[in-house]
Amino acid sequence: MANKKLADWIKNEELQGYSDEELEKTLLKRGYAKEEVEKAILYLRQKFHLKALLHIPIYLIIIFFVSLLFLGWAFGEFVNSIILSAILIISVLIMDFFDKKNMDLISWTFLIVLDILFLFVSPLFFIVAIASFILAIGLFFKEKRQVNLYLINMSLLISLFITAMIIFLVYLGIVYGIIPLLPTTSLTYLLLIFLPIIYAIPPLIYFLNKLCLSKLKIN
Amino acid sequence: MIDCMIGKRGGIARFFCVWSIIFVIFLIVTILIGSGYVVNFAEKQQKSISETLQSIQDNTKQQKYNHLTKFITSKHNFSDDFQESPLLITDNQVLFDQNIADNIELVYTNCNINTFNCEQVPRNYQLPLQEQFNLKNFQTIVKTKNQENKDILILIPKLSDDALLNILIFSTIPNDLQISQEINGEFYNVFKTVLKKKSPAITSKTEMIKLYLDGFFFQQIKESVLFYTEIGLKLGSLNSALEVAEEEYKYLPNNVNQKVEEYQQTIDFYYQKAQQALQKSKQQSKQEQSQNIQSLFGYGQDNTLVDKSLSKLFSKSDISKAFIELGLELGKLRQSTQENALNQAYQNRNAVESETSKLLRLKILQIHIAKILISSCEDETNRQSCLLNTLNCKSGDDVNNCVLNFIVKINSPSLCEHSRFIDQDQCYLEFSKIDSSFCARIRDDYLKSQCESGALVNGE
Repeated sequence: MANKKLADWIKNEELQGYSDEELEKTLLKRGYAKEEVEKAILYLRQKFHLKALLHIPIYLIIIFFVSLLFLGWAFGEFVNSIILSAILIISVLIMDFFDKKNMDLISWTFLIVLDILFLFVSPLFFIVAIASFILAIGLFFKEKRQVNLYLINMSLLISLFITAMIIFLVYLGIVYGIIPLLPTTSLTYLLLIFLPIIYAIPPLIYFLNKLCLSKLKIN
Repeated sequence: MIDCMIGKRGGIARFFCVWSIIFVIFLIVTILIGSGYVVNFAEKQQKSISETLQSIQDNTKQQKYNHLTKFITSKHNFSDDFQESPLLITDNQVLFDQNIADNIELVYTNCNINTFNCEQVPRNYQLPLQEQFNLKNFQTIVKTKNQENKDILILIPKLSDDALLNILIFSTIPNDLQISQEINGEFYNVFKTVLKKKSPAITSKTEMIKLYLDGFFFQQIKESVLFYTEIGLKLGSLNSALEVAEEEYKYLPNNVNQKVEEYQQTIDFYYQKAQQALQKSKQQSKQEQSQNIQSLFGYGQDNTLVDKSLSKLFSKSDISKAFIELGLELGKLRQSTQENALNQAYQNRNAVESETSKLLRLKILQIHIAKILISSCEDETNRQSCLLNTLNCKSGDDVNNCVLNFIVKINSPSLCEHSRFIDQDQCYLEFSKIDSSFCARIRDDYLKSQCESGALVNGE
């Protein structure tokens, strides 16, 4: 179990501009065990706070909500996309509250419930939510649990939705701009036109996620 | 490749490299799975088309054998109630229902398919049936009773397709009537088309994939559906004509000339209305087909951007083209079959022939017109007023009575099951006043028993 007082002290010192390495050295000199210091830093990294989320560029957050509403409209689930937008905003506030009250177990449970909630509101958006959750878990362990899972999940959710909107817009461009110029042909040949779009999906998610997390020192 | 693989851990170059490799693998796997699917689809398609054609051809042949059996039993005044056993020929033996050969005195064999005369051979119980006769030359064994009420066997010969085609349709109408010969001629053409149809054989897998990409299989589905629909429509129309003619022949009046004139008047009165109804139906059908095609690919269901874009995408594919064409051609086929049958029958109404043949011809035409009129308002929003107008009833009349009176006027019980507006029991009840055998067609048990006991004969 991490020493919460030690974590709070590290958090205050970080706000004054000290790096993790400097603080770790100081604490080791003061007689703290290395394992105890590492646990405190890990605990700090895993905690969510509203300010951390606000490090995501504001234009990406705006584009995310535009994407969510646009895709909702395009797929005939506009009302559901509004409900999901509201749920996401409320979830951020609830997560922040859990963080302040150090209700870690509840915040983890809430994250899972949040993803399941997507399923009930819109199975279509649930696919995106579950994809972002799985990717977030992958990234969480890749970063040796030195990141907040909810924050990563939100960042990936933003990246996936913006990617989906960009891909959908390109798809519309092809369908309405290029396809009418072609003669009637096999569906297989028509689908070949979309291969470059499929190729572009992971790099786009990768790029947007980098952009989201650029100010959070997470790779 | 190596430069790509040794890119900085977590770097963009390494990411692109790994993703490109995954993408290529994904493409190869997709192509392999896709090719497998295409070959599987093509093989199943070929098999399905061949099996369907084979089944229809077998069915057609069986119908012809049934007609031959009926001709033979009729010629020799055997019982209509017969039992059949097909002969299954394997390499060494002939399989059939052994019970059918019990207690038989005579076996009718070597039947002539033109005169229907057969050679009578006493059953030799010292030998099994398959040894007494070379059953490999026969199609089925029929067991029935002769005039002396004794069990006999008829060995129905195995015939070539051409010989089968020449067997006439068994009917209660004399074959020498011109109308009977015309119906038989049309049946001959339809059966010939079915028996001569061949299923295409493609063996090479490469060829299958190439043909799939060219949209061949979707066109094949379309052509196959159109072929079977056309055959079905033609056979339906011919069977209906034969049924009407048989019904009319059963109640042949003493004064045929008077009846012929009566029919001619009805035909002259309603023919134009039937033509108008067909034209109207053609227009409505065109609009419906357009809507159906749109709903098939998304339009008209959920009018979302995704649906619209998918419709746009699929509308450029060969599968869409094949099914759109199928929808349009099916509609056209249905319309043209009905229209051609009506026009042809109308043009032949003045053919030089016997009075009986003329009567049957006009009755067939009259019923054809009646069916068109009764079903003409099905697609209308205001069906009842449309039907009242078409059948020359007054606008305030009860539509059920209007249709019922029309059917009674046309005097065809087969029309009782052709309209949703009338009570079928009531309709048959009307005809039971002329022939009590129609009581058997009444569904309501109480009404049926009342009808059969004669209590309702006077319309009580």
